[in-house]
Amino acid sequence: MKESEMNAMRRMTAFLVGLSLFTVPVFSQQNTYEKSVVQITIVQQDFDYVNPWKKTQMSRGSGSGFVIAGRRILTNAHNVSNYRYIEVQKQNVAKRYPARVEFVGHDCDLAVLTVYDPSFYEDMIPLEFGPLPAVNSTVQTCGFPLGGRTVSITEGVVSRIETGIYSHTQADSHLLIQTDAAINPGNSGGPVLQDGKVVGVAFQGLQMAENIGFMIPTPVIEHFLKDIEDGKYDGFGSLGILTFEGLHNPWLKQYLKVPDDRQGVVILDTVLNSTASGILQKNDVLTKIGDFDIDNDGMIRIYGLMLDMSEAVEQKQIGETIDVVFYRDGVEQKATIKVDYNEPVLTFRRQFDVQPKYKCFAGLTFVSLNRNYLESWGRNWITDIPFYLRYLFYEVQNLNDDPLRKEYVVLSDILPDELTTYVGGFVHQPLETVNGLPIKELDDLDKAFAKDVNGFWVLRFLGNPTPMVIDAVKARQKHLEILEKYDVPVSPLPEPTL
Amino acid sequence: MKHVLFSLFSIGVIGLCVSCRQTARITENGKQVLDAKDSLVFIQVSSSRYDVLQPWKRSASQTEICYGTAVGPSEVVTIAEPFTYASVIQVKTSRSPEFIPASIKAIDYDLDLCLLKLDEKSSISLSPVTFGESFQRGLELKGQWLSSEAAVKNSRGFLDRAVVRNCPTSYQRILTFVLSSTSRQTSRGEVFTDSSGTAYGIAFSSSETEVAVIPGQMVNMFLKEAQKDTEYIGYGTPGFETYDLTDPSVRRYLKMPEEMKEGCYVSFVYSKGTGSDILKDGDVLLAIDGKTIDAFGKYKHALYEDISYEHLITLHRVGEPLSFTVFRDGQKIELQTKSTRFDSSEMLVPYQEYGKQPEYFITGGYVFQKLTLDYLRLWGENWQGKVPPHLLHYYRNLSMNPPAGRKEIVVLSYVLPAEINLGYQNLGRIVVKTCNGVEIQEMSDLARALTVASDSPFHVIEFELDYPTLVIPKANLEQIDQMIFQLYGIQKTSNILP
Repeated sequence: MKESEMNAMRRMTAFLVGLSLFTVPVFSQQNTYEKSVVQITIVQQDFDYVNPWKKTQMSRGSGSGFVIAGRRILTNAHNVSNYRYIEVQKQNVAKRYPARVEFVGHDCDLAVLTVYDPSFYEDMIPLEFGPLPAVNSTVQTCGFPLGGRTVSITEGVVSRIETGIYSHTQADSHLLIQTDAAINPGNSGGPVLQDGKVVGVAFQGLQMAENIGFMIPTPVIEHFLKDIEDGKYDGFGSLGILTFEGLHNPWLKQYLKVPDDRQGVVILDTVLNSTASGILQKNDVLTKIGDFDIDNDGMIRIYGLMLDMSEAVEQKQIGETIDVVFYRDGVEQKATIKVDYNEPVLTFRRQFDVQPKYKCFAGLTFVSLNRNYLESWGRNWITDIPFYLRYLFYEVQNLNDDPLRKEYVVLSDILPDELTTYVGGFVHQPLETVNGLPIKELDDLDKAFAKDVNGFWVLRFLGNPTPMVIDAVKARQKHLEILEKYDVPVSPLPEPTL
Repeated sequence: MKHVLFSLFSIGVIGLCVSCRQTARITENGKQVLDAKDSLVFIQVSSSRYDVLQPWKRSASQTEICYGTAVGPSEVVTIAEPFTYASVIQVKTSRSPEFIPASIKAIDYDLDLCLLKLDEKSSISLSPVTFGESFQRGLELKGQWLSSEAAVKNSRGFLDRAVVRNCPTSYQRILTFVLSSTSRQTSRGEVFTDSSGTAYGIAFSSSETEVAVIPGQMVNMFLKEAQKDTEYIGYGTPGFETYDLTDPSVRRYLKMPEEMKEGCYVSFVYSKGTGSDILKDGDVLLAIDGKTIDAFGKYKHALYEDISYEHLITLHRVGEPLSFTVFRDGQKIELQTKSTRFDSSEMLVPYQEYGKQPEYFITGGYVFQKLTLDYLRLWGENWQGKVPPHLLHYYRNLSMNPPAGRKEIVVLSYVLPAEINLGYQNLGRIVVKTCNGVEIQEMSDLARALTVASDSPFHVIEFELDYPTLVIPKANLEQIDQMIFQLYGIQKTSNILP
């Protein structure tokens, strides 16, 4: 079985990574579009997801971008995520231009930058967008890959057009084009051209393979640019359904009473609180999405190609609706579903540019459980994280049946103090209750820590029968002292309530 | 045999004490000490295991060696580990170059000990050894064993400490002597004696610098039961887990008096095992049989010093009474119970099923298996981090305390591709919930549910979590099964134990 956003996520393999090959640029004659390709240099600083009042080491990086209509530069989101400072440089011009991010779409790995100095745009010719290129047609990749200082142009062909994982967030799937034109570190964000028009943004490569580079095609770019027209980026949505391509089995088809001449996919579940829940249910058979007939592989004919049925949803903006046709108990039914985020409370997605939330009570540090926090275990985090966190990460869709839960809260750290000498074993566990109150979001902690149980704070964790006990009177006395000792921005403890 | 008689005779002629080989060397205090030549044996074990993923097949047989010590004229004690899947056992003595067939008289995986009986037809009479029960820190011990060439070999080490640690053949923890500064790695049943020849224990595991030895006390407990002619009844196992109670805040939270310094926290009570009938989560275990237990769960043993309370439970043969002193709801109470065992086979996901063919059932090409620890270990090194977490959660969190009625976890292991299972062929490693509407609590439920008569042309199986409904057509299923069995070379199509 495959597909639907959720199942793609479940597969979880982080197979797309930074590029590590060295390119030999293919020189062609000087084209006017080269002028519009710029190098972007940034200073990046990531957040610390265990002690979120801190930030990690700064690092420098560089990538490519290009000028588009409206005095803007289009580039990859991963070039400018968690940035502190951005500088743009033109080909053969000594001057550097500081810039800022105007919009960023991490889910589609695109960003729009603006240069502060208006003179920057004076001699620039904005690049225009072309259609989806044909498979096996020639394309040119432009950018500033490592190995030199000038624009490098490599030529190749379009190898495949498919829906695939965007490595920046590790969780989002969109249309992508595979090309054998060399795409190397530094190429990211540069345009891929055909007949002088942009048909893609170079953005990722496949490690352990040769000449497999990927670009973001124009349907995704156009979705992003249309999205930001209203001054804010909403992102891509989904229907929040899990599907199974099982109608190949004639007996299942018979059991689900689907007419012989129909094809489609079987609904396994809907995401809790999603716009499809209450409309679709297990063992419904989805046969049509928008204007597209779904086949037994979950594919639709779109853009003249057979692509994943999610492409029908990809054409919609958040808040728009899509019509579906499905069979339930042998009866054809129609429904309209709103396209929305429709995500479980713990997503597979990496987040960027967002200051992680936390609470710290007398050195007990709590954060929201998310992928960034889990990745703090290092390279092998997926096998090294504590069992229950791994269980939640894989099966949150099944483990959380509480529609009011906003997130899972983890005890991420205990700042050492004699108060907490004996409780170190509870670190990294997800909270169930504090002083008897269920914890369904970080903000629940204020109320919970205002209480106590006969003078003690009693914390219970998911999957652990043993409670953690702290002397509440002592903890309240020492709260500020501990926070000051470890330079945690001071916030007073909630007043005790009964 | 001829050779043996000849050697006995010739030694008799040169005037050595013949009887010392036929009975035993006896010291002044009446103990039978080790006579290297006539007390040690070399053991060769051939094992035939089953292929966990194709349980209808045996994997290639293996031959292992280990060493034994005589405890009767034709009885030998050794470690249990090599005998878990034993098919042929042969013993060699120093008096004969020929192998003598032997069989298992009793085996206790919780103590990692095995009693072998030599073939009655052999005329060998070994010199039995009794094991001492003393312990002296720093004492030099000599390890001895009979090599495959019937030569007596030696090693040495110093008795360093007595601890309770993991037993290699069960989930239990047992009393172990640790020898340090050992001259070589010995871990296959070598016997360790002091300079007078008094046996201290049997080696069962080793590292570069240490050797772990099963103490004489445990060997004697085992032999006391094993040498009876009645069925072997083992010793008690704990029916609960504990947590250190070192934190003064937790003691105050539990309303323990200031002067009460002893006791450890009962964090998890099992559904079976010693104490499971009388203890509750959150009890403080103060004493067993009047022996005070400290905050780390240890008591003062006259010889071994600080030893985990688990040893006190192991000391009791199943059925013997013992008493617990517990602090509960602000009061100290005495509780009486009887020693019981939590056998591995009673765990929801068994730790081991030595010697047994794994349970499975195949129909429609769907291979259903019982979830066991051996199955989980198929994921290889660091399997805990790689196994689907839902499978692991049954082993980790529910094995010792299964939900009511649940006896086994039945998984669809994988699918043998055939036309009947088209569309379902990638399913696997998922837990069966119901079959034809019947809840599946153990393997035999599944076989039974498939025979339930109904008008439906299909068998319908549902799984836990978000997995598809499995539909198997009833028409011609038997013939189709036969074809699949033939195709994949499966002779025995199911193994479901009562």
